Amino acid sequence: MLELLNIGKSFSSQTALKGINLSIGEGEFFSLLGPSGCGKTTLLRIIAGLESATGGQILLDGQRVDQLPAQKRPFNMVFQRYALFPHMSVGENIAYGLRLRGLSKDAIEAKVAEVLALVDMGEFRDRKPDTLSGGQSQRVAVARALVNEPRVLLLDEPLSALDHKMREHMQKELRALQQKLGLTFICVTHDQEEALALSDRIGIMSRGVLEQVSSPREIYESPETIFAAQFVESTSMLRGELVEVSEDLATIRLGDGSLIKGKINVPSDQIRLGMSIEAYVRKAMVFGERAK
Amino acid sequence: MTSNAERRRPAAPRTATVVLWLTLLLLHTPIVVMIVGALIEKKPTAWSWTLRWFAEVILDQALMDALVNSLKVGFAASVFSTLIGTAAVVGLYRSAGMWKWAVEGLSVVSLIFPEIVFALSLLSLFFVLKFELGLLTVVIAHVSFSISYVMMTVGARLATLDRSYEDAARDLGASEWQSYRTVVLPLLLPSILGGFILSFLLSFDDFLITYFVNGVGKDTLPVKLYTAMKLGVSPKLNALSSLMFVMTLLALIFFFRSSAFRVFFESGRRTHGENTKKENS
Amino acid sequence: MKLRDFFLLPAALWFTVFILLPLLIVVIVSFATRGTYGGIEWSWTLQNYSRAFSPTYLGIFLESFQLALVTTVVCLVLGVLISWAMATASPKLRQVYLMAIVLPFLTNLVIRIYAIRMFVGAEGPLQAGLELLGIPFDPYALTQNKVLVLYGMVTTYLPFMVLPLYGAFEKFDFSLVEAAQDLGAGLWKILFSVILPNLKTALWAGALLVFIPSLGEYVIPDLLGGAKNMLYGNLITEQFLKSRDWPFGAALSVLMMVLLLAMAALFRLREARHDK
Repeated sequence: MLELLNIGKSFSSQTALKGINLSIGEGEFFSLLGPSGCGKTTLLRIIAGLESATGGQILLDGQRVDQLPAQKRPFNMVFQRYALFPHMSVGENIAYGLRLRGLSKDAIEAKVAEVLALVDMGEFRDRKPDTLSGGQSQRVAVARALVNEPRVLLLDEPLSALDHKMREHMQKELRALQQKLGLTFICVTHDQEEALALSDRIGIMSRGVLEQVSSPREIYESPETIFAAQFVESTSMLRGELVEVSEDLATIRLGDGSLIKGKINVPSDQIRLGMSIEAYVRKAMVFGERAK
Repeated sequence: MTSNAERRRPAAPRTATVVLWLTLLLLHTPIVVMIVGALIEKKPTAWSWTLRWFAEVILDQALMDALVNSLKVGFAASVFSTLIGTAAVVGLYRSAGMWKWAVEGLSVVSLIFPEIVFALSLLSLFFVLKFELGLLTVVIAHVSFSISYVMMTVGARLATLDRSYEDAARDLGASEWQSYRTVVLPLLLPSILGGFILSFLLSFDDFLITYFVNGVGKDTLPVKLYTAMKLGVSPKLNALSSLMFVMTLLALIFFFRSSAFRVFFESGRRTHGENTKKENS
Repeated sequence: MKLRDFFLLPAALWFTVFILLPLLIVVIVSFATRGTYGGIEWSWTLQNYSRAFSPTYLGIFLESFQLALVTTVVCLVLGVLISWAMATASPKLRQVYLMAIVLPFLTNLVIRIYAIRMFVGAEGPLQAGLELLGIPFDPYALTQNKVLVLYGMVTTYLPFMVLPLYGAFEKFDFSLVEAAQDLGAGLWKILFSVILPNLKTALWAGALLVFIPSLGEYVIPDLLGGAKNMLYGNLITEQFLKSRDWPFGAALSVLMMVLLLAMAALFRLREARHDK
């Protein structure tokens, strides 16, 4: 449904995004996961139209949308610190987009009430944003975006401003809301747990490159790159000598003579017995990677 | 507050504190004496409190005419300078190039040039253009020096404004103009009000520039006061000065209370966004 | 043209017509000749400038330069001590001090000068006090003299010195003072060896902010100095408002602007070198 074709972005001399290709399905919860500065927020802003790509196309149902300005794209965004307009009440914040579209007063009233009920914030309609807690602000921000009936909801680190306990709670709420609406969510986060818990699929980004796109399970169990493996969960690195390979299971002898076995990640034509190899170990599993 | 500001600061020597107090004393004593002088009257036997001098000021038609002139000029000048200054700040916002360079440069020039150069150059302009001197020329002059102050006050607020408000407006369907009108301007409103009050104050208090470019018989209060005090001091002038002082003070209190003041003097020390400011106010 | 440029247009036009153009006119007028009845005759000459360098006017300039310099130095000394005391006071007191310093600066200059005249004038507390104590005085000399001018100048321009210095003190890392104290240095030694070197930029900025308006000041010497103390600002004003010799007045102002611009440029140059 939403397709990114070879999206690139460079600022003067620096490259921020390199040839991003991605296809996201209807009703999917997709997370862009990566450390800060990897380009994930830039990519989200390019999808929203708040920034323009220096190359590539964005297609929605096969139609190009990348030439449309932000206000004409059927996407809405939940901002990192919510960006609720401080001079408007909760109700006015939510009605903002509808007013700009020139809806009748009654229609606006009805829709605002409906979406407030959806996020369970009905009684906060006349409150000012600065009287709300973090979790409440987040719900209002989601409601303000949803009320415009976007085709895709974009979320920029939606939970990062909340404390730990609240975050877990809102994770569940967000996921439940997405499943109830059957809407496509694209969520940017640097929090692995959050991405693993929420998403149908995860795209791991590093230095402007999309390293791997797969389900949380696959990302966790068979990371395609060392970066993906390390970013999802911290790993320790052991260096040793490859002594035996059977199928994709390798045996490595470490410096002190002890042997470990693990899945190998090196193309079979490059495997030589006796080569130096690095083993990455984390709590749940061991796997091998050719040493550089 | 940064942690640095909260850290213990070893006290300055006693001498420094004494100098501070002495200076404050020297700064404020004459004003206090002046106000007291406006409130007392010498009776044959002793001094007594009176409001007589204030009544004399209010009943003086020439002074009241000057007051009306001052208010007219102040109002017109601050409306124009607030409009022009605010528009300029919004226009400068994240723009670049020749325009930005020229407008910012000229606003700094108007801030640092000695008043007298400002005054006589405007007088020369009006003379060369054969512009008749009157209240209009005073308004033009006051707008010219107030724009920069409005730009400073509003600009300081805009610099700390979270950019995501504007992004959110665009994302929700606002055009560039709509996002300015419905989001950016309302958020700037306190600082725009601050700029308005500041330029009114500057206009109301200005003497030198007005003295150069005002028309015959079109005196503002400070010019009237100047001409009168050339002849010497009197209890009536004390009352006039005290009244003007109190008016300025009231406007100042408004200015200080508006959030603009904080931004105006603390912009150098604070660079972060919205959250901390909200907690402080 | 973008929407933003339209917003800039009014200010750009206003500045061009009412700041840039007037300055240009002053420069042009400074090369013109005085008309018989005080107008401007458009025949070009350098005479206004050569006249400005004649001993009489050079003397007036030097006198003004001296006053501006003394004002700056006094403000500098007071400013350092005041902002040091302010910055080390409790946070609440700091706000009060800041207000107390800034408040007079934001009130009308003429009123403040009036208040000073009233203070020293006939029936003012100073003369009444002297009379009470039986000390003889000359009422005229007491109301118009150089000391009063300096007092007026310092109280007027002190905030321009205190604000940048206080700002710098707020950013100053006071643990340096503690470290120096730990090494056994006294407070005054610390001031010169630790604090002032860290405040250099603010000191220069404050000095410039005081010096520039001081040099062209008209109102204060006019009202507190009496007729004997002719200063540069009064000289210029007189050419424009009384003798109607605009070309000469324009030449005097151009010279002052050139001097001030040169000083500002020097300041920027120093800053630029400092950054390297």
